[in-house]
Amino acid sequence: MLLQRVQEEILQGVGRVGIAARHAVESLLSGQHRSLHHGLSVEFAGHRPYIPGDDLRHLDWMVFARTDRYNVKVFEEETHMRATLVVDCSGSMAYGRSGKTKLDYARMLAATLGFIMMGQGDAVGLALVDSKVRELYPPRGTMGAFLNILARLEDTPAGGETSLASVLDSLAERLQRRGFVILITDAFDDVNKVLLSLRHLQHRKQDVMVYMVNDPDEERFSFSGMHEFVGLEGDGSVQLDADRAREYYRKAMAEHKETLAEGCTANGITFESCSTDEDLAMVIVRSLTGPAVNLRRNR
Amino acid sequence: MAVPVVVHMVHRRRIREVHWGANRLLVELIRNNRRRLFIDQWLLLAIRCLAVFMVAMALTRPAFMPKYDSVGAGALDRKGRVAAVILFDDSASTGAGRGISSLDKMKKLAVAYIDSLDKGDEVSVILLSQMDLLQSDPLLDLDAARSLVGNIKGTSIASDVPSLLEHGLEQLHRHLIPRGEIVLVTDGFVGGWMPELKERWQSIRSRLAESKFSGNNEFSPKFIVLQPEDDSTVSNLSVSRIEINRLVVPANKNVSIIAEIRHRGPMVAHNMWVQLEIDGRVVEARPFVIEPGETRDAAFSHTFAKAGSHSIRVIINGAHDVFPQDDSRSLSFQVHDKIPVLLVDGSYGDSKRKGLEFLDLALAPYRDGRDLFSITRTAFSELSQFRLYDYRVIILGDVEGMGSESLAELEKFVVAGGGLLVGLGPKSDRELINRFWARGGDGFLPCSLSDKREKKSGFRIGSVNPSYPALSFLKNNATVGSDCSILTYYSLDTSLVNTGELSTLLSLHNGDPLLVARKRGMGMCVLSTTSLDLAWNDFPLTPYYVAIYRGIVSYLASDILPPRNLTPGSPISYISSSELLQAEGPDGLAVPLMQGAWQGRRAYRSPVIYDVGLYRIQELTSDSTVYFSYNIPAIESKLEPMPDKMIESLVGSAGYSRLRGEDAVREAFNPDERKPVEFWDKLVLAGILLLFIETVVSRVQSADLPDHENAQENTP
Repeated sequence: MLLQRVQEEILQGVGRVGIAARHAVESLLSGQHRSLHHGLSVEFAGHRPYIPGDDLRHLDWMVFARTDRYNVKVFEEETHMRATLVVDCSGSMAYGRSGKTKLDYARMLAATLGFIMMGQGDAVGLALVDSKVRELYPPRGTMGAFLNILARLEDTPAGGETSLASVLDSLAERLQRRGFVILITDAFDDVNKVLLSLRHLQHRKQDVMVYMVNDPDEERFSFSGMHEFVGLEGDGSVQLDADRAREYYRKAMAEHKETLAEGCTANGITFESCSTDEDLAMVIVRSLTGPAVNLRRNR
Repeated sequence: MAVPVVVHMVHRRRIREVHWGANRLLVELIRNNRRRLFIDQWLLLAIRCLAVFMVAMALTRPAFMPKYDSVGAGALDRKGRVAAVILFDDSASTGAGRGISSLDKMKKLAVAYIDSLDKGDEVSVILLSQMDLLQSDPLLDLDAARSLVGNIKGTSIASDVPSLLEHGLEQLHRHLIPRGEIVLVTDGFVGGWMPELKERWQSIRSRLAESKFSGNNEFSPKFIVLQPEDDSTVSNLSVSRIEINRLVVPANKNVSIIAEIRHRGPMVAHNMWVQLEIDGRVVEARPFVIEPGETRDAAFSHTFAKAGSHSIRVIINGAHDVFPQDDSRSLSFQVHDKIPVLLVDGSYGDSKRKGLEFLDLALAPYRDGRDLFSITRTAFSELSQFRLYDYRVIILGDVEGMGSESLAELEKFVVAGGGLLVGLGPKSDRELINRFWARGGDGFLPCSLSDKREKKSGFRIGSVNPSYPALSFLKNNATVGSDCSILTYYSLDTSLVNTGELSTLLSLHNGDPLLVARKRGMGMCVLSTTSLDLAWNDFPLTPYYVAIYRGIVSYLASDILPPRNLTPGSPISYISSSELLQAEGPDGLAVPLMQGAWQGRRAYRSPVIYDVGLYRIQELTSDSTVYFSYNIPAIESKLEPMPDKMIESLVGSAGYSRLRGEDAVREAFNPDERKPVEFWDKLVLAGILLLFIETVVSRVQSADLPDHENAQENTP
């Protein structure tokens, strides 16, 4: 289901962002595949559906003849990158206007990134976290395993408190092999502690990329009049006049985001801030074509 | 008033619930900005409350009884008929003002006062400019009094409150009604009150306190001061003084002209120019900067090629002050080619004594026509052969008693403005001098002689008075004549002379004067208590002798007579043998000249002149021009309000009332006609202003987004 949505919405969306951006993504992806088949000891690991951009030489014509579907052969040696998608499923991720929550957006983002990485033969794992590591699926390069991840990602509800720092510390200890951690979160935690934990991950030979997902309301605070803001993580409620508080809130939010972004940049961590009303394809293109991004850095 | 509070409370009660993810930030925000958020909120509430309060108050049409600026208004209740003497100070400073002058305001005040009188009350109106004229009987026709006030025009004369009050008190005697009111209508400035004239004010005080009996009742006149409301922002720039650095201006020598410019008041003056005019032609103009409250000199230099009458005028351009009449000042003076001096030497022809030869040489050292002083030296016995008016200065050195005819001529010469220097000597007869020259202080000599004092070792010169114009060049020389000795001199008897009239120029170590001066009539006499030659001292052998006596003779010759620098309110007098004269004023219009006399001499006289500026008389036969200068009296430029305390100290127990503005006059005399002043319109304006402020504050606090109105709260 999620895979279908990713295929229908996101990949077409990537197409929409323009020839230049698509070329950038394609060149990034196709560049990896050409080199894959030059290895000597390749071990067949399974099939995966053909996606635009795959080299036609890798199509399994036998399967096509039998099933009339385009499938690409995947070998064990191709899964040279172990990526773990860490999705924040805490209560605060349940916020979203018009029924589209931050968690929904995070799911789509995680699935899309996973899909792209699967497409280039990487192993993709998943960690669902709130105040603890709720579920952890180690990286696997097979399509079956990836579909399982997607199904789990789709089913998991938002809830619980955020304790991002401790969760990342915990993950750092549990991820034994060199890999790539993509953190998707709203980052409503102590920024300094989070930055320390991200460095912990780096110390454990993990390349880290952070997507900070926020709702437009959280960016602009465009409420008017008296409101009672009830915390989604059971952290009490606050009554205030939104008109009076708007400037102060925006300032605090900007400072929060800036501190996190600067901390990440200073530590060589790719940071991307996005809003749930932004076109996901655009966000992905932006993040993947940014100067600091290199999905192959740990090869 | 409660509406905004209720709205505020209702607004606060309509709380919408939002399930919110970023509560952590909100909690921190409230913790850090609690005080600021609280103030913002209550500030807005306060502004809204005040706005509603203003509008609500306006609906009730509030009003107040105005309280006007007045002193002692409570003592002005009238019971019965009133004899009012209105003293109108139409001096120069009443011309000051922006848009409407003080004079116009004062006329309205006087009319407001006349309006307060009833039928049957007596009223007299005395103008400062006409107070020396014969005053008419009191008026019973109030309309005539109003008309009289309406026709008052400004003048350029100096204010003189004591004289005006004296005339007012005199006029009060002509009124039949015993309840008198002396009403001084003034511009309220300090000039003209002359608090230094203590004796006159004492007399005025006692006359104000005098009672007038009517039946069994006694009435003292009430003293009322009416003036426009004080204006603390008045600024005035004026040329307060012009002087030339020489007592006698010689031809073809460079002189410095110094104009003192005074800035009173807070206004900052920009783009000002100071312009110098000589004989009506502009010779120099330069930018001039002066700060508020500052007094600065503008200095110019000029060489006058031609002897005769000349004029200087310094003008401030671009002052833009309230009193433009004093932005210029002029000076008339004489440039001399020669100054005729007559030396009457008691020792002339005495081979043993040199007599006034030293002085002769000191005044005219070159003897080749270059000397400024033209000296005629003669024996005392030949004095009657000279026409004294042909000389500017006469010097008597060691002369014996003179005949009554010569004495009378000499006294007339001094009183008419001549300069006289008298030196004593061995031939001086104290008895004769005291009897005929000094006459107990009434003669031409400054004072009587007392004892003759002698000392073989000689007396030393003690101090010099450099504040005296003739000796101003000795400001920095404290040791004048310390090396000379005075063997003999006469001490002076000053008991019959007012101390203020006598000036000591030089004095001995023991305090006795050596040189004294006293103004006699229009002229001046300087007396040396020792000899002018070597008979009684060796002063002629010291270097200061030349400088001191040249200074004194220059000073004695410096007065031009009849005077050419005049104050408004006086006529021009001009002595001339020519019959073809033409006089014109600063506006170019002819000024009539009539045959008359000045100090007993035949002279031409103009009518009394009130307008300031430069006047000129042209002698058509010789084509020479004589300038006459009329200036605003310097005291009139001092536009400072007269403090209540000063009036109180001058009037003392006689008491006074001071009313500022027409409304104060009406309120004081017609309290029943007082009308309340409504101010609802101002409240409405204030309410609108507050609503505007509320909008601005609200917008600043809210910092609205363009999509703010479309914002929706969301509850997931």
